[in-house]
Amino acid sequence: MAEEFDFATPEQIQEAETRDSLAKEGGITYRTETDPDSGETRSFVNVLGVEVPTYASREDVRKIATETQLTALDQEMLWTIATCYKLRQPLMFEGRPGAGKTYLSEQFAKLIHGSDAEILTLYGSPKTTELDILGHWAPRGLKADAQKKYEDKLKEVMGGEEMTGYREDFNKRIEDLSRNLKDNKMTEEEFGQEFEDLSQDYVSRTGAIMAESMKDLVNLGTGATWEFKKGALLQAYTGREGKGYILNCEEFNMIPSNYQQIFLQIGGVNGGLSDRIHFWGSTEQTSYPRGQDTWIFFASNFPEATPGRSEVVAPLTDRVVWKVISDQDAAGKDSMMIRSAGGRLRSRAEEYSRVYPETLVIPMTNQVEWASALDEKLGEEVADLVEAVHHAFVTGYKAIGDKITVKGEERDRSQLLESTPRNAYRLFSYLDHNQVRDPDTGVVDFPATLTKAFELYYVSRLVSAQQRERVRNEFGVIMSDDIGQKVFEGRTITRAEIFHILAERLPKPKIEDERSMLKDMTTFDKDLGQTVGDLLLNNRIPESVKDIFQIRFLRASMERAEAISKDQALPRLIRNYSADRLVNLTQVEEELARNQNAKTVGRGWSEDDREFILWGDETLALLKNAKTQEDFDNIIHQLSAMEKLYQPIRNWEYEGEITVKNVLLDQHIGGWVRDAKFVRTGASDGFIIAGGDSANTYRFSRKPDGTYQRTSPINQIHPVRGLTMYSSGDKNIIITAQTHLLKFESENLGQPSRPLNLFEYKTTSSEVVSMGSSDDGKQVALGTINGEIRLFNIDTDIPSSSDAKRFKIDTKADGWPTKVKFSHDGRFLAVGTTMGRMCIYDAHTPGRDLLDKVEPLGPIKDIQFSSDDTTAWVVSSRGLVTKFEIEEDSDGGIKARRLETLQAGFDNATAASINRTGDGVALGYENGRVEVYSLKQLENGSPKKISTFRASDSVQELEFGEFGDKLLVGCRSGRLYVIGDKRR
Amino acid sequence: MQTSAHEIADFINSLTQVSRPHPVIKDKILFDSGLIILEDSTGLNPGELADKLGSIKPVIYILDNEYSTDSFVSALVEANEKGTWLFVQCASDLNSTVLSILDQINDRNSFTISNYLDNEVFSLQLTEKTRIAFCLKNSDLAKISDPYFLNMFGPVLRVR
Repeated sequence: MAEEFDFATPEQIQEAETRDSLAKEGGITYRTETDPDSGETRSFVNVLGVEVPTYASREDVRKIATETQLTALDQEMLWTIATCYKLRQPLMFEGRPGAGKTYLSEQFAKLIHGSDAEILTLYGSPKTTELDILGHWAPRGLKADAQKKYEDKLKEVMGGEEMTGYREDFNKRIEDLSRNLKDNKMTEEEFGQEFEDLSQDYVSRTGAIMAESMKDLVNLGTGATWEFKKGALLQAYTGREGKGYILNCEEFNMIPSNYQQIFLQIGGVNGGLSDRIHFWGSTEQTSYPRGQDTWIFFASNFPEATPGRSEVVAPLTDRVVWKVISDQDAAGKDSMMIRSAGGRLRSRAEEYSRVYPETLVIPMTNQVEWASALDEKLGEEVADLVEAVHHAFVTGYKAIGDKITVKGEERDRSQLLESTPRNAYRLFSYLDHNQVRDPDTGVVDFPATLTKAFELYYVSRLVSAQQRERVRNEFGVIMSDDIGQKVFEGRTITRAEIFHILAERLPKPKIEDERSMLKDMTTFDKDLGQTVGDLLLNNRIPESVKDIFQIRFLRASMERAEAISKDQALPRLIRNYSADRLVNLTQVEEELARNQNAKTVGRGWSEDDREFILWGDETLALLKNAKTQEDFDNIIHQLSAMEKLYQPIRNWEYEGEITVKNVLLDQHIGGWVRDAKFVRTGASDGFIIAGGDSANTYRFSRKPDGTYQRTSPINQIHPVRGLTMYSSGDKNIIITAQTHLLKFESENLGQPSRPLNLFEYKTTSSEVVSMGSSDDGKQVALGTINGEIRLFNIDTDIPSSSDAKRFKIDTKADGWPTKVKFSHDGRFLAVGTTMGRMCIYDAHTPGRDLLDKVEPLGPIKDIQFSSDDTTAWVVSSRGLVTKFEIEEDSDGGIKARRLETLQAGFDNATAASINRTGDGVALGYENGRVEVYSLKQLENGSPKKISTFRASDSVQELEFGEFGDKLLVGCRSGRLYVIGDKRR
Repeated sequence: MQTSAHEIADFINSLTQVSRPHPVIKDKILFDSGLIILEDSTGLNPGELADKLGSIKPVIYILDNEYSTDSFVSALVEANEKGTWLFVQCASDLNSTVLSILDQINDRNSFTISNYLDNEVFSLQLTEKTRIAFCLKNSDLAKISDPYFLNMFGPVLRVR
């Protein structure tokens, strides 16, 4: 299959520029736009991809952007704030104090209204009443010296029998109204009307009581007049001369529930803020329209975790976008803050607050509109999908609920969430503004857009990581799994595939149009140049197509640099793209003279556009005169044949971000990916086996074009915690484990064949958390959660428990076994633990510790032995990679001598893998980021980052392929990727 | 009184000099508010503590009415203009607005409230020298209904 290359349209280029500038500017940029008709200039601030109008000046935005440091969690929270503000959807952050809820909402308000933004704040406390929310009568023009007297009198009146009695009655009537609304005994409109009547009575009666009780206030010499002063909610809607305010409601669930219910009126149609609030004010105005800048942000703490808190009243939970900030996420942020000494350690603070371009959600410049394209089959598919996932979420939530861990104990949540269709409506609203582009096809990526929206409006409502995972899995199944397949135009395919097909059919510019558009281009993206390089190297692309692309590039280049000739344009472009590489002959010669063992692979055109240059580690240089097309093709063919030239590629020392394009597999396997491996049997071309919580083991065979396709899964009843495979004669034996060891036989991994279940054997009473196998695949070691390591010879008949060799680690001191790894000769069994200890046992002698407790490194994620077993590399979740020299001592034991420790990446890696040669390490993170570092190339003493990839969600499994040229990436959601070189 | 002058001086020093980093804004430091709790056994009244603050000449405010808002803000404005402490002799619960002020000051050393005097909204940025110190008897702590009242403060001095 030929690779498809689509050239960037001006919109795509603009989106790429937005992404780059956001990453460069710390996630916040500013721009102005002048209306050509009216001449009016409008200002916009872009917050992590969400662009909204702003009153702030450029200087203000720059100052705020410069002073703000955002961790990954902050970025996610700020993006949520900006998205909800843009859609005018009220937002609730629920999380423990210190997570940054308030700080971020305030910084955002400053980005909208400037550094001196006036942010209304309602602080929830048991003393918060309708006086604070709706308003109260108070004297106007009261002199300072009379304030105390007035407040003393107010205390007397509020505590008096008449006011107390009236307020009790008012509370009861609000509760009745709310109950009737909840029980569907009245509509939202009727509720508003009834509330208006109630408020009329409230304003009249409290005004009368105050006037009567304080009639002697005039005798205090104040000269004051009475005025109804609007409370926080009314001010947010109508203050600032009708433009409205941003209102921060802090500690909202401290407010007594009857007063919380006053906020029910903010719930509008489609899940946004209501257009108006019904209230009878002193001026006899009964309806208060929402100002253009009105937005309400709520923050609350977990009621289960803190004494004295009540829950947010259930009807309100559905009127806001509800996002839980988990303790785990908040703890990660705390750790970063502390490790950067509160920002004093500048380089660490910058590392923790870096904005990665690939994490940004950049909406397409031109969104597909419901009124046109969406109002047909595509829109129907969207609506059907949303209905299906909404139904699945509501059904699951009612049946299972949610859980929270308090003081180490898991409890059912007391905070209940209502689930009317509001979240589905919000999702549609989100889709109006936030469609993202599929980088491969250039058209709308509806699955990615809907996944992000589902995360925002559904997954974020849950506390329990397990429940979050459950609903993500359900979404994945409905969107991408066989179970969720639909018949579409006579074929049974997944919804994701349907979306891709329909998105491809949306009108898009023809190539002639693109050519003319390119004439107008004033900037040129270096990525485009990079694509040219890839294109010209690809011998599967017809030369006629290459010609078209070259013409387009030349046009683009000439527009940009008028002075250069056509012959110079292409080399200049490529030089631009590869500014950090060498592209002309002189530089190549200099480089070769300087470093005869240059590792870098370079390529490019000579200045005269007649030579194509390649050089690599051993080949050093390949200089050919490509005076004709035939010559050029010959070079390409030679290049393909020269395996040695690609050695650096296998070690990931080349191409940087290009690997993102080489996604060889992107599949959903229905549940948390617990283990995934490359396997090679006999003369086969390589397979992948993967499994996890879905209780299936999936097999993927390699296609001739280097991508992978799924074959029939092995169905089983136990979730997979570990996998291994070996060949026995003509058979392929697959082993999986959780609390049982399951052994399957399959004749052909690449074809759908029914595997034979050879045995199912209960191995241990506690769950397997890690699994390792010897190189021949016949020895399997299982690490369990209670710290036991059991060794089985699985090539024998059904093993028995008594046959197993056992080792035990001290769980109190060392934690759980996170990694079990055999040496290549099968003699050593290395065990890494959650407490950062590595133990090495004699695999042939049960209970014999060869080496115990190397040193704390942080939770160990991977261990790798060199081919001769004299070196071991260990990587921990802190990104620390330690190299040990393994030596046998005279007693038959071994010593491990630490040679070096390198810091790759940053803390809190959720998965890691070291390649077989120990010169590369991959780290995966909670936010889906994957980074590959060279352990041979150092920058300032640290491994050089050579490639990055963005997975859909939390990375839980990483595994390099045999040659280090491919990487398996497994996610908590069940998404499985293979990235890397497709040549072998 | 068992609490020594040295301990009181420590409290004053920590409230005056110790800062913490803003969690989001680079290079911005925040100052805490302070709390003094008088054990009932001392027989001291909050007003008597104000005399032991040495060189600090605070604005003194008596908070004995949970409906007090504007007068509290006026006292705070005065302290801010003078660049000194507001010493609050607290003997009652706090209303939502006063709690909000303390919370905002804790978060960013400034606050915005609505309806102060005749202003729709009113904002105040505290100077680097302005501090708030609440002083109350241990027995009066029970009057405070907000369970997070103590979280509003950095240094706490318990006078025995």
